[in-house]
Amino acid sequence: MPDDLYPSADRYPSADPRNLWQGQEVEKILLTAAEIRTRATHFERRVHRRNLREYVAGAVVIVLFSMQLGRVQGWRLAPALLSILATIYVMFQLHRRASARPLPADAGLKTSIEFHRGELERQRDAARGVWRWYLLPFLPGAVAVLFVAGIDRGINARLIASGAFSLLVFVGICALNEKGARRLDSKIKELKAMETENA
Amino acid sequence: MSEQDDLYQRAAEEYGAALGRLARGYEADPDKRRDLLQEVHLALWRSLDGFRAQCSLRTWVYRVAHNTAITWITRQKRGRPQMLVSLEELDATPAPPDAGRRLALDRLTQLVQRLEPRDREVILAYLEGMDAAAIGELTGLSARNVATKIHRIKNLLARYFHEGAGHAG
Repeated sequence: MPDDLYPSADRYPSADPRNLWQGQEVEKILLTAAEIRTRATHFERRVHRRNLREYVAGAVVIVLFSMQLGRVQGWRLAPALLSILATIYVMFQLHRRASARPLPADAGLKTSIEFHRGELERQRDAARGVWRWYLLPFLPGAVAVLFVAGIDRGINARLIASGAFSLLVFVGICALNEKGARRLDSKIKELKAMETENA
Repeated sequence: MSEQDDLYQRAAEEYGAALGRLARGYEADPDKRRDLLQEVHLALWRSLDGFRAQCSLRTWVYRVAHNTAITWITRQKRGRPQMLVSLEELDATPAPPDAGRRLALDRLTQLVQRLEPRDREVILAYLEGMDAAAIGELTGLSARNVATKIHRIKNLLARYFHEGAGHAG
């Protein structure tokens, strides 16, 4: 590592941290208008690719359920159809609520407290409403799967265990997200208190 | 060139070095730091489309840069959790033994990188020479809060660098 990138304090006799900090050599970039437009386009593409990966899992689920559609008829199509619809709805909601996105254009207008609070509120709301937009849509499909299994093979211990396990997973996801939302809430309150002091 | 491009060129020329130091305060890994710096520049360019002199260009540049960097470290923390501490917690722990000042800058950088985002922003602004009013405008912290934090920063730096807490913002 070149020495002048990290000059020692011996070269700053007063060891004044401000001088030390400001005196360091750092990488500077200065982009031309054309360069920055090209990089902005690349960056947007990268964000889109990152979001695209989130949809691949959803697409796999849809393909798997679609394969079942060919094997059954009539009302027995209900579990697969309901699950496909739920997956599409949840993918749309994921995109709307939690997808990666470039920094908002008004980032310069907001103090960091306002900006940070806004980001935390977005995450909290996504976590708090998870039962409504993530779990509830899958419920009709899950119930239909159990219903069809109950008709075909009768109500047995395995079916009851599957139902109980699904319920446990639903409740567990809700509880974890609620816990996360409460943690975010306390951070948001701290930030709000700092803002109120200024009002 | 558009007004946005002109403003960006001006901002990058005037504050480019400060943005590089800011990136160092937020990201230890050199490759990731380059990515962060590029993200800061892109966010800055994009934001300048909405700049109507609502505040000084310096405040605008620092706000965009810190907000981008805070978003960056939040994203990095999800994949690589690390323990960040507040100024109060750091102030309560003993300062590391004096390494003969040779690696003072490294120590200062590591100290900055250990702080949680809110305090990191304040210490970076302080190190850049901003006064209390400018730090308040940048962060949204009250004057009392800024004064308390600067007081802690001075104490902390004095302990780490055996420097009298003389000058301040």
